[in-house]
Amino acid sequence: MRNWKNLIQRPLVILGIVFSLSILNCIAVVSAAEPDFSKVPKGPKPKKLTVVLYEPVEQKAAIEVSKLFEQKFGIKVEVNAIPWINLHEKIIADLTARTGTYDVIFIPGLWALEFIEADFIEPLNKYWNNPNLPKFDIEAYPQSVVNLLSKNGNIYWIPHHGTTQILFYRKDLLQAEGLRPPETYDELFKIAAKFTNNPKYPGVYGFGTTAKQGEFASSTWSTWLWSWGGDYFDENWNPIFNDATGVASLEAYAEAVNKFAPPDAPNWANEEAGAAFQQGRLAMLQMWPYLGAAMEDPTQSKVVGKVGYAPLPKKVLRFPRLGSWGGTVSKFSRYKEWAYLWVAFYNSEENTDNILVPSGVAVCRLLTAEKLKDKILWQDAVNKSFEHTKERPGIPEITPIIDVWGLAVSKVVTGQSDAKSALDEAATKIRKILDDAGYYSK
Amino acid sequence: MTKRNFTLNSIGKWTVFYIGLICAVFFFVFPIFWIVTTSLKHRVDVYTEKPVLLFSVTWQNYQRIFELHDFGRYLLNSFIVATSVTLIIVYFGALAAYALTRWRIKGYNWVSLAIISARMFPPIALLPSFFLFASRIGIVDTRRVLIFAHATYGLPFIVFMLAGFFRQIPRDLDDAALIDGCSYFQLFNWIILPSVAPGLAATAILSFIWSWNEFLFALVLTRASSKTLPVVISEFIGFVQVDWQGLTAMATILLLPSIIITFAAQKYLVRGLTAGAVKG
Amino acid sequence: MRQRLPTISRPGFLSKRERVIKRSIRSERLIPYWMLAPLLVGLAILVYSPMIGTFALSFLRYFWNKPQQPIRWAGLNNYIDIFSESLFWQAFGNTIVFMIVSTGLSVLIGLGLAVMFDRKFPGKNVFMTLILLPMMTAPVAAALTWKFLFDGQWGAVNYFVNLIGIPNQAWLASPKLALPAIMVADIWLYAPFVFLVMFASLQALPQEPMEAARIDGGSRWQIFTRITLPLLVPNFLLIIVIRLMDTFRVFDFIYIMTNGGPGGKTETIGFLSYERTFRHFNMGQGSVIAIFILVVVLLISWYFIRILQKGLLEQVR
Repeated sequence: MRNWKNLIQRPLVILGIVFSLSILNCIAVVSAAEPDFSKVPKGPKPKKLTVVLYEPVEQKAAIEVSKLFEQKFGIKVEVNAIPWINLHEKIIADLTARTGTYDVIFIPGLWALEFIEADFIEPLNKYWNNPNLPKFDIEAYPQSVVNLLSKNGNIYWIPHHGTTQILFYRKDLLQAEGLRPPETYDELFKIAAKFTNNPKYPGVYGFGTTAKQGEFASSTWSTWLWSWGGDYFDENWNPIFNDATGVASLEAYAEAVNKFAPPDAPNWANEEAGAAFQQGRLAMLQMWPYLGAAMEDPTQSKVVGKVGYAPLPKKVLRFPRLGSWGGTVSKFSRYKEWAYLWVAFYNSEENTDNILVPSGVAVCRLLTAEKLKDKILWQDAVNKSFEHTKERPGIPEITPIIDVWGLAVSKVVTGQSDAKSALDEAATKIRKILDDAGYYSK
Repeated sequence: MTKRNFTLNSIGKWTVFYIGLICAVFFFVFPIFWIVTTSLKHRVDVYTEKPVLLFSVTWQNYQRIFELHDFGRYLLNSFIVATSVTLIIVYFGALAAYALTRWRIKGYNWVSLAIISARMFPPIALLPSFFLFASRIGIVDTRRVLIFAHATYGLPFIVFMLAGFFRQIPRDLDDAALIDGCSYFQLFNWIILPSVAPGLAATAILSFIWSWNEFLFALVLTRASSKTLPVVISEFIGFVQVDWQGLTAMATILLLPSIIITFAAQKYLVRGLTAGAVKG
Repeated sequence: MRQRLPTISRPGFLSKRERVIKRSIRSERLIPYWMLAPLLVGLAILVYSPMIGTFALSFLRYFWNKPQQPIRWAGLNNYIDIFSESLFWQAFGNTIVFMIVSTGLSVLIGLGLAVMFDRKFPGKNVFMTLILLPMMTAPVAAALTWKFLFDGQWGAVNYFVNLIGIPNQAWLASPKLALPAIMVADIWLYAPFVFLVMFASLQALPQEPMEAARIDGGSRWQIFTRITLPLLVPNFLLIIVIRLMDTFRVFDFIYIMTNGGPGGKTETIGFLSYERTFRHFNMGQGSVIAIFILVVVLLISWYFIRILQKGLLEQVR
C-alpha cells in the first residue's frame, strides 16, 4: 500500500499511466469498444421481453443470443419470427393499437420514414448516450446503412444486417466452358444463353431471379433499373422510372427471365429461386448473400463447394439493391431500456462474430466484415458491391407503391403488357398515391 | 339400400364405377398422402422431379418442430380454443335455435335477418374495427378473444343447422316437463338438449374442425403467446426458405385430431346433416 | 306477445297448455330473448358494430400507419378511387370466374360422388372416409400443399400430367393456368363437404316417388332428373349459396399461392380488400371493397335468406 501511494504521488508516473490508458483507449476505439454490460437499467426488471423479426436466419441467431442474454441478465426473451408477407401487417397493427406486445422490432431500411414519422420507434442515441446505460458504438457500422433510419440527428436502429444483391454462379460450369463471371449484363446474357437448353447440361437454365408479383419482382428489378442508370423519382418526386432507361431495363429484365430462367420463374420468391439453384438447375442467380449459408449446407444443397459469389454485373454502373435489417425499440414497450440492452447485446462484437455470422446473418459490421472476409465466401463480392448501392425510398407510402411496381414488372415478365405501357400505368398510379399524400402540393 | 333404382348388374359397369371412384379418391387423397410422406422425408427427397415413393424415413422433422417452435404451447392453444369454441357454439347455438323455433318473437324478421346475415359479412370487413376495440380493452393476443370471435362468427350457421332438429321434437315434450314444474332452462338443459344429441354431435364436429383450422381471425387477433397452429404453419413461408418438411410435419399433426373426431362420429355427421337440412 | 299462444292447428294442445301459461306469462315472455341474448350480444360486438365502423371508415381518409395525420372526411373519394381502378375491375372479373367455375365444379363433383355412393358396394365406408379427408385439412395447409404440388420444378402435378402426355407446365407462373390451378385447390378442399351434404340429403329423400315412377316405367335417367333432382334442390340451394358466398371472398389460397400474380391474373376482391386494409393500411379504400363484397354477397344470398326466414317461421305458425 505504501508503495502505491508513493507511486501515485509522483506526477511523472501519473502522466505515464494516463498516457498508457489513453493508448489503450485508442486501441479500444479502433476495434469498436464493447458495450459495458455491467451497467443495467435501474427500472423494474421485466419478466419477459418480446422480439419480433422476420425469418429463419435471424430467428436462429436471436434465439441463441437470447439464451446468453437470459443467463447474463435473468430475463427470458421470446423470439417471434414472422414471414415477410405478414410482418408489416402484424407490426403496424400492433403499434397502431399501442398494445406494446413487442419490445424489440427488427425492421428493414425500407420502412424507415413510415416508422419514424408515425413515432412508432425510439431514437436509440438517447439510450447509448445515457451514462447509466451501456454505450453502443454505432460507428462500427457503415454510415450509409445507419443513415437509412436516421432523422434530425437521431438514430433509430442498429443495422446489424446490411448487404447487397450479388450474383451466385456455378464455378464448375463456368470453368468447364472457360468462362469468368460476367462483368457486364451483355456478358451475363451471353453466358446465360450458353447454359440454357444446352444438351451438354441437361436440365440447367442460364439465369434466375425472383419475379413473383409484389415485393420480389420490384426488389430485383430495382438493381436492373439503377444499373441501367435509371431511377425511380426525380428530386420533386415525379416518377421517372418510365423513361427510356427504365423501359430498357425492364425489357432486359423480362427478356432474361423469359429466355434464360425456368418457365415457373414468374412465380418465384426467394425460396423457389434459391431451391432451384441449390438443386443445380441454374448456372447463375441474382440473390441475397444470406442464402449462401443454405448453398453451402450439404444437408439441403447439391452444389456445395461449387458456388462462386461475384458482384452483379454493370450496365452503366454496378448498382445492386441494398438490403438492410436492424433492431429498433418500440415506443410502446414498457421496458424500453431493457429492450435497448437486448439490441446492444445482440449486436456486441462477440455475439456478432460468434453467433450472427455463423448462423448466416449478412452482417455489415465493418470490422467483422473485414476480419471474416476469408471465412465468409460471399463477403468479398458484397464489399465490392457497396460502392454504389441503395434502397428504394423509405417513404411511408412505399408499401402500396411497391405493389404497383411489382404488378407492372409481373405483367411485363408474363407478356401481358409491354414495358412502356406497364410502366406508364404504374407511374400514373404512383403519382396519384403521392399526390393524395401531399407530395406535390408544397 | 336395395331400394335404390340404380342397380349395377354387369361386371363392365362395376369396372367403370370403380375406375371413376378410384380416380376421385386419388384426387382427394394424394395431397394428404403427400403431406404425410413429406413430413417423413429428408430434404433431398423432397426436391425431386418425380414423387419419390421409397425414401428413408426420418422423424427428425417432428423432433425439430417440437424443439424450435415452442410447439407444445401452440398445440395447447389450438386445443383449448377449438374445444371451448365447440362447447360454446353447441350450447348457445342450440339455445338460440330453440328460442327461434319455439316462440313467436316480436321483431322476428329483424332478429332472424340479423342472425342469418352475420354469416354473410366478410371477416376482413370486421377485423380492423374489432381488432382496435379488442386492443383498447387489452385482450388482443389472448385465447379469450379468439374463442369469442370464433364462437360468434361460427354460431349463425350452426343455429340454422340445429333449427331443423328442433322442428322434429314434439312440443308435448316441453309441455309435459313444464307441467312437472321444470323451469325453461331446466327443460332445455335436461330434456331438449339430450333429445337432439345427433344434431349436436354433427354441429360439434363441424365447429371443432372450423375453429381448429381457422386462419384469418387467428392471424389478426393473436400475436405471440396465444398463436394457434394454422398461424404457426403459415409462418413457415419464410423470406428465405420454405421448410417443407417442418411444415408438413405440423400439417400432419394438425390433421390428426380432426380425423380422429370425424371417424369416431362419422355416422352422426351424415345423420346430423340429414335432419338439419333446410327444407324450402 | 300474444303470439306465445299455441296454434289452433294442433288440437289437444291448448288444454294442456293453459295451465302452463297461467304460471307467469309476464316473465315467460322474456325467456326466448334471454336465450337469444348471448348470440345477439356477441354478434353486436363482433359483427354489427365493426360493420358500422367499416361503413363509416369508407367515407374517411385514414391510414393506420400514419397516426401523425389527422383523420379527414373524404366523402365519396374512396368509392371513386376504387371504382375507377382497373385492378379492381380485373379482380372483380377474376372473382366472378372463380366463383362460378369453382362452385359449379364442386357441386357437380359433389353430386356425382353422392350418386355414386348412393348404393351398396364393397369398401364403401373406406372410400367415403378417404374422400372426406380434405374437409379436415386447414385451408392454410391445403394452400401450401397445392402450391408445392403445382410447382413447375418439383411439383407432382407435372409428373401426373406427363403420364397422360401433356408436357410440363409452369402452373402458377402462367397467366392462363394460375387461376384454374387455384380453382383446383379450392375444389379439392371444399367438394368433399358438398358431397357430404348431398349424400346426406340423398339418404333423407322419401323413396315413394321414385318407386312409383319406376313402376310406371320411367327410365333411370328420367327418374333422376325429373324426380330426385327437384327433390334435392332445396338442399342444393343451401350448399350452392354457401359456396358462392365463400368463393366470392376467396382469400387464403391467393394469399399463399400467388400473391395475386402473375400480372394480376389471380387478384380477387377478397385479396384486394385484405391488401388495402392490412398491407397498405388504407382503411378507407379497404372498407369500400369490404362493403362491396358485403353488398354482392347479400344480393347472392337474399333469396336464400328469405327461404331460411320462412322456414323458421313455419315452425312457429
